[in-house]
Amino acid sequence: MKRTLSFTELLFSKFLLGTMLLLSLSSLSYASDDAQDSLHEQFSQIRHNTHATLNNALAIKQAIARFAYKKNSPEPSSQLSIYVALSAAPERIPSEMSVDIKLNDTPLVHHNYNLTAINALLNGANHKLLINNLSPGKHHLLVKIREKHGLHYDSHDTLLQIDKTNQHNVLELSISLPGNDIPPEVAFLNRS
Amino acid sequence: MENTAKLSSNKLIFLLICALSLPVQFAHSKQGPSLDKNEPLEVRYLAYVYQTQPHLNALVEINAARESNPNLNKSTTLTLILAELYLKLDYLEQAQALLFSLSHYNDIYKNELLIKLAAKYYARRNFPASERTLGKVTKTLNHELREQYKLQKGMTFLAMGNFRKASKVLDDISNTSLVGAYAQYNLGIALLNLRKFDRGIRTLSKLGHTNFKEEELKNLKDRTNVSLGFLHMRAQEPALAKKYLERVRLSSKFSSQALLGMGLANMLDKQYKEALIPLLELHDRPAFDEATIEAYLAVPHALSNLNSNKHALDFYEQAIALFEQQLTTTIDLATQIKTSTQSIDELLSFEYTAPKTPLNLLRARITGALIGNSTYTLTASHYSKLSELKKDIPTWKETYQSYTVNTEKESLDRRLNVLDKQIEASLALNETLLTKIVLNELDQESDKLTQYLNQARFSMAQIYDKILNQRTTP
Repeated sequence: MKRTLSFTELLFSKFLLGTMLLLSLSSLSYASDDAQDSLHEQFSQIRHNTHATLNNALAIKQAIARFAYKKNSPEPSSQLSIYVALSAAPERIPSEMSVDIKLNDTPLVHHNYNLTAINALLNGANHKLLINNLSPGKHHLLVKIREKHGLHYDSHDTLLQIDKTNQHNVLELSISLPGNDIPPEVAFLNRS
Repeated sequence: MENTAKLSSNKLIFLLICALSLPVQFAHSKQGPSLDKNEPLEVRYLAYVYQTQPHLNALVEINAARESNPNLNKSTTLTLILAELYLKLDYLEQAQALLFSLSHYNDIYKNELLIKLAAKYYARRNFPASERTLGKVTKTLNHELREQYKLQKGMTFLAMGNFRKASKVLDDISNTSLVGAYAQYNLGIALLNLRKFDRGIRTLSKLGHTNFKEEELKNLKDRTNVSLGFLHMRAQEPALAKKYLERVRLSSKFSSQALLGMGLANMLDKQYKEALIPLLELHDRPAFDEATIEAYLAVPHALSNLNSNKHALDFYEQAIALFEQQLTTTIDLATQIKTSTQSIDELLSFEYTAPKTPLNLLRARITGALIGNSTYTLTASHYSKLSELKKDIPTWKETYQSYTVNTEKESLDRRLNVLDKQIEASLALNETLLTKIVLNELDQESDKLTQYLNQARFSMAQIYDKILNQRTTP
């Protein structure tokens, strides 16, 4: 009888140790060292292979982007680039915004900004709105700013004049949304 | 001091060295480096791209811009943005090269990225790289970042087995924050590894007493109390063990372990009736974890010690039925994984609210084990990245059709075809490895169940033997 009980206790202590291992080593598995080593070795090789594939993918994506960037980059000729900058009073931050520009009464560009884009602009980033060819001389640009606040839309037009030179001109379209019920302040700043 | 002798067995040291060091997830800054109004327009435009485009698109556009306009390479803002994008996309070597190139630049955001990079190296178990990266962090840190820096450094030392340095760094973190609580936990482990048992237990015990508001910290507290409970049980101190285990919330994800621990501590104390209360509660739960499975053996063990042999036999029969059923399910699932065309994910997917079928019980335990297996989680993450890439490639082809000339198109087409095959091959390799890991886990589960089954059968035989002896003894 005594011998049987002590054997049970021995089993019980093993069972207790099993539980402790489980609790303490949740990130380790029970596999034998050999099995674990073999899996680990395979993992190292496969990880190397996967990284090579991902690096190749990055290189190709990079090559595609290079062509796209070349296409979108301004030529060193008489071009016009317009970047958008935004500032807003906290109570005036719209949930959506759009910018339309008409050049000499002809629609030139239209762009919608969602909240992510608006936040990026408010953080000091600029959006490249336009790269276009334009003949030298004075031009009238009509800038329409449309803001969405809740379910309401507010729209304001501003007529601005630019003087295109013989060189690549870079303009910053500075939009400022002051407190409620005050029209936006819109201006072109020369950044050439 | 009184615990030292009891706790210093090699096995315990092994347990502690391997175990328990917990990483903390650092919050991600969403806006990148601060933008100066004097930055060139092109830099501010690329910052816009970074904030509005998917990471990979932003990364390649910024690189393309830097290649065509070398002046942009001088922009520290862009270098930091690029480093962050490489980091988010897990291209750690590229992120490291960019951050290390800014050694002259002393900035809080750069330091934040270095700490995140070190955390990623740590997660990949590349501890020397983690240590090297942390070595580049300068003193420009706010309070929160300084605490994160110390925690990451302490954990890296801990992982590299440098317990003395780990203890020194972790001891220096105030314990009121989330980072502080994790630091205290890891410090407790470092001290135990230094064989400073009293101080280690005191540190953990303090954490086990603290009232936290955040669920994450409540879980850490529960985990700490369970660990302390089992430490004391191992030291043959069931009364102390119970004190810690009682603090674990019943709704906690560690409650099964705590209930099992309470039962076992009472049994060590020879209080078999008291042991049955938590054990029976655990026994009634679905066998989603190992603790519940072990309760199937612990309940009849307690009953047999109370000489309630008939009840003990009933419970052993239930245990044998469960173990046999789970063993069959394990073999079936392994066969299915070897032969089915379904993905591993589909074969293992289950909801805790789903019917408690034998298969779902097994899936829950296997998934639980796999979550803690870094080889599995990293391979699964590679698999998912490659699958996304494969889906994306047709859209890449569309993008360059309109603006490349024929020779460029042909060259890109060729490269994409090679990449497509490369992705296929990588996917197959990762899938094979995932299958092997899961099958390995099932093998171990099968071994454990077989051991439990043998133990239950042996214990039943002992009870029959006991009954027979009682009848034959005058």
